[in-house]
Formats: sequence, C-alpha cells, structure tokens
Amino acid sequence: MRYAMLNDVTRCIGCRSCQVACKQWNDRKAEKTKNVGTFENPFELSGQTWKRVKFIEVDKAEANWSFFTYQCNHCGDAGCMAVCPTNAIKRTKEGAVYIDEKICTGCKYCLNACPFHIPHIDEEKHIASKCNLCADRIASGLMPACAKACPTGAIMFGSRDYILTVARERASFLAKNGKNKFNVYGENILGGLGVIYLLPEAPEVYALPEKPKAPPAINFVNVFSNSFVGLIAALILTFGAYASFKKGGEK
Amino acid sequence: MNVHWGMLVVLYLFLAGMAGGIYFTASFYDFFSGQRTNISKKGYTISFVLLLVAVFLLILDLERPSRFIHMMLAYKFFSPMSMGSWGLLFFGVNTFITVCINSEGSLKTLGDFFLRIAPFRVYGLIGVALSVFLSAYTGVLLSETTRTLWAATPFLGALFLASGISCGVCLLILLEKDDEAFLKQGKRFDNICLVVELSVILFYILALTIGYGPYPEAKNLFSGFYGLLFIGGGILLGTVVPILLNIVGLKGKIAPVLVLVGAFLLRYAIVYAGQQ
Repeated sequence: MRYAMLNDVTRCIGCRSCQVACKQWNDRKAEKTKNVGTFENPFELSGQTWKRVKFIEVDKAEANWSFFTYQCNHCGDAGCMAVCPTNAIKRTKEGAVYIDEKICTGCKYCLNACPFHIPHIDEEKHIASKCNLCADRIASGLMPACAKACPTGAIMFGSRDYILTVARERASFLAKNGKNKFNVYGENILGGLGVIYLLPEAPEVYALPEKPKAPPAINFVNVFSNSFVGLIAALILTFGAYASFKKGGEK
Repeated sequence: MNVHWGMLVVLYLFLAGMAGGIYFTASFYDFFSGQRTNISKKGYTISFVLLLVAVFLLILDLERPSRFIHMMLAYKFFSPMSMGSWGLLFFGVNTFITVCINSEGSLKTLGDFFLRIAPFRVYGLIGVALSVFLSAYTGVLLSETTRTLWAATPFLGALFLASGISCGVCLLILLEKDDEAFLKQGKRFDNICLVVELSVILFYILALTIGYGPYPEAKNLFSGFYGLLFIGGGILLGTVVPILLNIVGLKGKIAPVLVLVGAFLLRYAIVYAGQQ
C-alpha cells in the first residue's frame, strides 16, 4: 500500500518540533547557521537537514504569517530515481524514495533532476542525501518521526487514499468557514506526490511550482528528440566529411 | 541556486566531446581519402589520451571516486549518465584497439591479434558510431534534468556534437605542420562543422526565446557575465570569426585556436548559466 504524509499549513505553528525529531531519528548533525533576516533556522535544506519550516509573510490587509514545513515529496514519478546511474535511489513498497548510501557515487545528477531542488550533498559522506520518509519506522509500523512529534496535527501520516480524503474534507471545511480558497497540492502532479500539502495560498507563495515538469528522462520525449536532432547533425557532418576528405578533395 | 556541476564537469564535457571529434575526423579522413595516414594515426592516439584525461576528471568530480565501479554495475537506458559510462568504456576499448592496430612495436602484436578478429574498417566504423554517441551524449546528459536552459530544447546533443567534432578537427590542424592536403581539407571540414554548430545555436536561441518559451531563465545565458561568454566567446569568437577567417583563407593557426577557446567558453556558459 502506498502511504503519504499531509502537511497542513493551516495548522502549523512553526515550533520546529518536526525539524528536531527528523534530526534525532536520522542521526543528522547540527550545523552552524546564519541569521539572514528571518526567523527561519536553518535557512535551507542541506545534507544534514532533511526537513525545515519556512516562515512566509503573506502581504494582505491583515498581516499573515504562514508556516510551511517541507522535505522530499516522494514523487510517484521520481526524477531523481529515473536519472540515477547506479540505481542508488530506490522506492520502498510503502512509497518512500530513499538513497542507498552504499551505492551512491555522489555524481549530483539527482540534484539537477529534482523539480523541487530537494537532494543535497552530505559533505561528510560525500553522497547525495535527503528525507527517506523514515522508511525504517514505516517498515516497523510506526509513523515518520516528524509526524509523531508534531503537536498540532499539522503533519499527518497514513495510507495515501486516507490522507487525500482528509485533505479534501479539511479544504472543504476551511473554505466554507473562511475567506480563502484552499489548495490541495500534490494529488496528481508527477505521478502523485507522497507528501500532500493543504495550502491557504497559491502554490507559488510557497515556492512550489504549480505544474512541476517531470524530468524529461521519465517521459522519454527529450531523450528521443535530442537523439533525433543529434542524428540529423551527425548525418550532415558525415556528408561534410565526405565532401571535404574524398579523394582529390585537396585540390 | 547552488552550482552542482562546476569546472571539472565543464572540462570533462569539453575533452570528451573533443576526443569523439578527433576520432570521427581521423577515421573519416582514412575512409574517404582511401589511405591510412599519419595524421589519422596521430588522431587515434590523441583521442585515447584525451579520453583518459576526461575520465580522470569525471572520477575526480565524483564525491566518492572509489565508487565509480557502481556505474559499471548498472545499466539504465533512460539515464544518460549510465549510458554515457558504458559509451565511455566501449569507446575507450575500441579506440585502444585502433591505436594498437596503427602502432609499432609490442602494441602492434596486440593490434595484429585484433586484426585477425575483424578488419580495420570494422573497428573504424564502430569507433565513428561511438564517437558520435560520445560527443552528443555530453549535451544529452545536461538535457535530462529539470534545469530549464538545459532541458527546454532538444538541441544540446546536436550542438555539443558539432562543437566536439569541430574541436577535434581544429586540434588535429594545430598539431599538423607538414600535411598541406590535410590542412586544406581540414579547414574546409571545420567550416562545415562550424556552420552546423552556428545553425544549431540559432535554433537553440530561438527555441528559448520564442519557439518553446519565452523562458525567463534565458536571460541568464543571454546577458551579464555568462551572456558575454556565450555570445562573445562561444558564438562570435568560437564560430563566426573562425568561419570568416577560413573563408578569407587566412593561413596560420588563429582560427583553430579560437574554435577551441570558443567551444570551452560555450560549455562553461551553458553549464553555469543553467544552474543559476
């Protein structure tokens, strides 16, 4: 059965329990961070930080602070997995996309293929690194550490069908009782994400692409179109070589 | 945005493309001129050496160099890096065979062994096919990502192929002093490569600006520092000026040098601007 996580932005209070729980369970080290003028800490994901909370100020008549917790989205069509040359990126039967540390070469292809720019290099181990949805906990019948630690229910975990039902019902309830249009993000894009977001604002407010492009390796189009154009160029150049190098051509 | 692929990757793309280009030129010079020439023998050896340097740079760029072996334990048709690793291996082996066949001394004995398996022409044709793959794959590698400048158009494979072959011809011209016939024919072939390269660049620019786009990311490549490298270095110095110099028949080695410098700057600009 495919599992999923719900990140309900309307319930998040920005306490960062999820960040701490993630670090503790996955043995991620603390890093020196910089104050860049926001309350966000750390300011970006890294090889040691697999999950973080963004503090987003939404500029409206009433000031609104939106807390947005994010990590790897465990895409149904995972670009990182498709391009990985060594099959180091794998998927569990529960849907968690994880990196096999023993096989990863640190070639950084997954870093360039992820539409959400999630994987980073673990500078100590020199391999790609990202959230694994606590695959070990799920295999033992537990929920991911971040979901377990969340005090407000902003992070929920369950079967993907259940999570989608909860997200839709919550969006519908909020829309009836509030002014915003609530977006359920991740239901169908990229083969369906393994992390569903309930967003009070448009996805771009949270730097989530509205229609993220599947890395071309998945839909084959770019491989074939590049090869086709390359083949035409090769034929022209072969003819050019013949015209230039044929016997007596030096005259 | 972080730059994940830096100077070592740029150098790898440049050298691997040129290794393929030299083999392509040397092999076709043999085929079409109907003789096995010294310039071709030199070309096969340079191609092999460049390939070794390129692979060394590639392994050096890996965060875990010792794990390069895992590339050889997997085969993924739709991962250009996986296909490229196998392409490098096959091209390397075939080029080594070609070098053996064309060498003297102890390597010649090994070359004779390979000649008993198949005639030289077979190795040459396989090498040409692999050289086209190698030069083009360096562009396709970039295309199979989510970086807009790399992935939005189908032209990078053809662009790096034409540029790689052009670099191959130019390096051979730079290293040859005596063979007047080759110098003349090489410059003619180089001009054809450069015209193809320039045409593909124009298609690439049109695709980014009006055809498929316009993509806001295009400004990273067409303006600022990378714009200067791409337009000034890659296009003007690397293709337009050498074409004009070849047309007016300027003797000397200025045009080939400009082509090599321009091809490097072209790759540098595309790789770095694509990650901004």
